[in-house]
Amino acid sequence: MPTLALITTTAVAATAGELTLENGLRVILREDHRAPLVALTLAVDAGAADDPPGQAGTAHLLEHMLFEGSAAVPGQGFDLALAAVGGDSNAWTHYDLMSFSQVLPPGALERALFLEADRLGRPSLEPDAVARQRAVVQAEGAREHDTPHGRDAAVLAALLYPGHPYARTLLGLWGAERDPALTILDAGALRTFWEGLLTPERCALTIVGDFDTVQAVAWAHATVGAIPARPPAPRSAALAPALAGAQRRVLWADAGDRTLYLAWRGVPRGDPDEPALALLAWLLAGREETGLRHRLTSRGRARRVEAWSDAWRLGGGFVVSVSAWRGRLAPLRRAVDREIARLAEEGPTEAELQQARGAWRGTWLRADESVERVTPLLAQCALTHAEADCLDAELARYEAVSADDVRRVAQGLLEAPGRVLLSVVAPGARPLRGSTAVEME
Amino acid sequence: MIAALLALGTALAGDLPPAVPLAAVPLPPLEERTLPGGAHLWAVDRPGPLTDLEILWTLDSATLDARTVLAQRLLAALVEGELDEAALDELGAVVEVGRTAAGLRLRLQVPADGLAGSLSLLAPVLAHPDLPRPAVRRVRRAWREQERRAAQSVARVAERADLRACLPPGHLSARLPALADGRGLTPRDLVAAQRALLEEGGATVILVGGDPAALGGPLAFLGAPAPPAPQPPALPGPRVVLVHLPEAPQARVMLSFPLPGDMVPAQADLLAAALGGGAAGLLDRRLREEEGLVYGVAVELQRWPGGGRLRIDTRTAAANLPRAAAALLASLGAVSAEDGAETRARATALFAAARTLDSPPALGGAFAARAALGADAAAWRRELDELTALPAGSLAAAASAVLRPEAATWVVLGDRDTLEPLLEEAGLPPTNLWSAARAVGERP
Repeated sequence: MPTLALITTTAVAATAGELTLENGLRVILREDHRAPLVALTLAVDAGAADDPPGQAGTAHLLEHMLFEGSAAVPGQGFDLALAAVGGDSNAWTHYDLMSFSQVLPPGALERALFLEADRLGRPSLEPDAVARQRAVVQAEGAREHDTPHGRDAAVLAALLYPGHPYARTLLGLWGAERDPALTILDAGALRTFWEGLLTPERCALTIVGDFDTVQAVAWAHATVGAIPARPPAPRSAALAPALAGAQRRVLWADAGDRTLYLAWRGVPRGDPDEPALALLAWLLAGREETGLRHRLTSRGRARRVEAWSDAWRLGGGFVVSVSAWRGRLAPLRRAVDREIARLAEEGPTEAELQQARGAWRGTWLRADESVERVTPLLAQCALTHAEADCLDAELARYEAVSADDVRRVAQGLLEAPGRVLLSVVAPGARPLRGSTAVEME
Repeated sequence: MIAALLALGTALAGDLPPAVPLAAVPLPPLEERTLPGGAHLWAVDRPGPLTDLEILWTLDSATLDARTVLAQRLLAALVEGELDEAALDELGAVVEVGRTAAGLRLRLQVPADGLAGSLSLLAPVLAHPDLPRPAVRRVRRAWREQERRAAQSVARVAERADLRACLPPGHLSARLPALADGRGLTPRDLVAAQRALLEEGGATVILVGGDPAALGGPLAFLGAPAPPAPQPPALPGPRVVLVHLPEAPQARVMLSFPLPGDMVPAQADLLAAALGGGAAGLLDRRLREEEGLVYGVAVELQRWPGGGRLRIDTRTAAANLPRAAAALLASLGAVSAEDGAETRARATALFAAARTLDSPPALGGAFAARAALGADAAAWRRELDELTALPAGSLAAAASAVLRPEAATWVVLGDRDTLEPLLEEAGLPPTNLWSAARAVGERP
């Protein structure tokens, strides 16, 4: 039997340990007895980027179906079994990750582990339920479509990664009506995906909260540990060819304002430059007084300025967005470029770095102090990094970013061979000059 | 093939294990103190490196007027414009400002070792507000711009339509649309309003997980909290308000029921938990899981001094509106009929309280919600005791007291030409037809 490794002990009587079960599934445990609850997350190293060609939406629909019955818990039994003790559950799917979470009273942990094992190991995937969940996903997509700027992220990914799995939509929907991928997904397609990608060795299970580690390990062995190992299907490792030139595109959508996205390819997760890019985003628009945001919003030239850096398994994205009620987008583009050029030349001051580090520490602490918030983060850590409890190590990576690192990644953006300039404006308004339309229908 | 795959997992043995719901929620120790200026302090003991500080200004009837809304904006501007954000960042602190059902709220989340430093930055700004005229003008300009475009924002139209349809004009929340242009208020009025609130208004302070001794000096300027002004109850139904949003592909459906004034909070919590308690809530299961009509159904209790309401919110494809309305009504009529419904609702409501013990901000927020209504520090404990002591049949009693069709106000947003006949078909002929501009309160 695999042994439990104790990895940290903190000041608030929380202990953390990890073990890998015989079937390859990793279990991370952290006791915290300050509140009468246990949170549990099963993270799967698979996602929408693994959808087979022509079957976009498979991973996401499968995520829905894992709430729709399993061998020992048919129908809506999963949620009802949790609700009987007041517990709740949720799940989400991204390009490279699927995450299933439960929160429950301490007296229900064995039940929660059984439920997780049964749906991960023996999902029913009944055709009638698949049809119903396709309709639910249609409603989910329509809600996204109805939300101002609700489609922007999918369009940006498609433009940054043309022809790549990241260009597929997470839901298998593209536009309000057209859904060629979603409608052809059936129970067979879902089962094939499940068989090849939701294997125990691709999974990490995190348990955090008010429980006893020894007891929890025994239950984990008896439940998720009983899922037979099976060979995982190979995954695409294709890197997208470099973007060439500035792609000027326009999405005609009346979102109430006019928005310009400046987007570059980012770095994959775990890349040494990941923290420096995140810090660059913070320096651009992290708070009201930071450079670009202050310059544009305090004078009323923009109503909102945001910047962020995403890091996925095979790549990432660095995005700055500027929204204004009126006026031309070209001056906003020039302002963003000038600020990035300034940071590439001068870099941040030591005081700015200290502020950013303090802000990161606060963010980390707020997550770490909540059982419900830290549980999925630990599960993602386990899949992304060698160590199970990587939060401290991750914070150290961010705190080690130097002014030179920020200068270098800003310079990298200036020298990037290509980028996307996406205008999102109402029909009739002026996008950036030379923009061609994104076809949504 | 499928059978072979299913056989893969047969090693998992046995049936669903038994589980034990929570019997009680152990609230953390709380000490009540009075700060030097008279403000009430609730110090909640929670070990850990993170602190949550809440300041709640409750407003009496003299100050509870249109200026409240503007004062909140100004408080936000004050915090943004006058606070040393860079120094707060270095301390890892975050400050948020918001409005409650009866006043204003400021929240500081900070590592415990940064509490004193954060207060030394925050308290002088609050104690001696000196908002520069340009900042006031900026607030007015930004708000006017936002209001000018409110009718173009589907989310804002929905929010305003719901408030206008369900709350009487005298209600604080319903006054927001009436203030759409702030035309009658000068910058001097705004600064005076803000000073009246911050310098003369009293507050309740809630501290979770920090040293209460750190507060006495910096927050000595805060006076004793005023009893919050009662506000009128939600409007009775029946009404069906259709708000015209041309060519909207989905119908947004909001349904509101006033809460009876004599209903104990625990009973309303039980009803809300039965209807909307997560994925196993009755409405989600019926409309989403069984019918595939919606992505989700939100159920919310809103409370204010003197009243409250239960609000249901969902969206469905326009063509599905009659089916969704029928499923919704059928579910509301049978909320307590399902096997185990009351047991699940009790467990859900009780565990929802336990989840708020998860972190200092969640805990501070739960106490703040009570303080904002003028409740005392023991109110939450009493509510939990009431919940566990509710007799059998309480869910059915709550449902029959609240979910009365004649009390319902429906607000439906979408394309009028499409939805009007569908509402007729559903037995819900519109009683009011509003444009988006009417819903957000624009002047003709």
